[in-house]
Amino acid sequence: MSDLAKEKAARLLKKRGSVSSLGSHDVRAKETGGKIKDSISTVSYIDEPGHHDDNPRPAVQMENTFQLAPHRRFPVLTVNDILKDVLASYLQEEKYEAELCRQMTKTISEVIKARVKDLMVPRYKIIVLISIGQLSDQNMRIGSRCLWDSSNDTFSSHSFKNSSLFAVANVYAVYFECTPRPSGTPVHRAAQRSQSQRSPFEPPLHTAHTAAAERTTGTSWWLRGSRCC
Amino acid sequence: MDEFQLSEETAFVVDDITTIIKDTVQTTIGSSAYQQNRINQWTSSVVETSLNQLSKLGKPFKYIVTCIILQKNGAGLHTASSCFWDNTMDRSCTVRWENKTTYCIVCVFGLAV
Repeated sequence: MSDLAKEKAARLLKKRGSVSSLGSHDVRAKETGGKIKDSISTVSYIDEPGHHDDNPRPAVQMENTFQLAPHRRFPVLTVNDILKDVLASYLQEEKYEAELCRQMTKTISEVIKARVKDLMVPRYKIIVLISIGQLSDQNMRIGSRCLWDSSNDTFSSHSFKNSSLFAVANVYAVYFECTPRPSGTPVHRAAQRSQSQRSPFEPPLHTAHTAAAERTTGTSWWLRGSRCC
Repeated sequence: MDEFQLSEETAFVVDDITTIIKDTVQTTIGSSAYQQNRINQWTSSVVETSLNQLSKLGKPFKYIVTCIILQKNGAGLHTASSCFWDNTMDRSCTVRWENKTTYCIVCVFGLAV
């Protein structure tokens, strides 16, 4: 069952070009020793763009369309159902194994992203975050907070548990106010355009500050797994 | 030559963000042992403080900050994210922090306005 699922996911991935954490060579990990010797931290971030694309597209100029609110809002309940469906179908029968779950997180995040994209909600940027962990006697807490425009932006969340593992999936949808236009303009004209477009960054920033509200999602887990003797 | 490149004021600078996050987690949890009754407060404090500091940077970004605090028990955890966004302007970064009894994973996503 899981092999079929993996093949299906692999086929989905080949069809859609997208940046994801699958390409581990693109993600840089920086080891930094903590200043205090009893804590360590590591950092990883997505590499610079252009290294991923096979067909690099020219950078687009953003122009205002003066449309501040979305015509169609993000369907939170539909996405809840998608999350429920995907997590159950991929993880219902699975037992926690390090290698399997590592691959599964990447696969599931891509599958969820593909299905949310299929909803074709215009002008929304999508972020899918999934965590899969082993059920054991540990305690954990997952929380998130967002600085955004709460009238347009929203999130959807679902958690799943079976006898050996748990999974938490979050989908954040952020409305994008500007639509990109393809840049066919010569370089010097683009320079002038980008100069004049720099100032519009300032007003939206203030708007974002005054309109932004914070929503916290918290999932608290008390994990009591069955011990295997 | 700089026309298509982001200026300092509008770019997502990973180093600044990671410094902020590391300092926040260090201040909030530090070398404390894992305590179940404080975890609620720790998570809220990490995300809230991080977000406040990020908004003070004054960059034209919407931020999403996620924090996972996990007791060290030998149990495994995997996290992955997949994003549909503007590749030229939006960025994310993840900071994994640990002390003797606790893991803390903070993911920051910055989406250009």
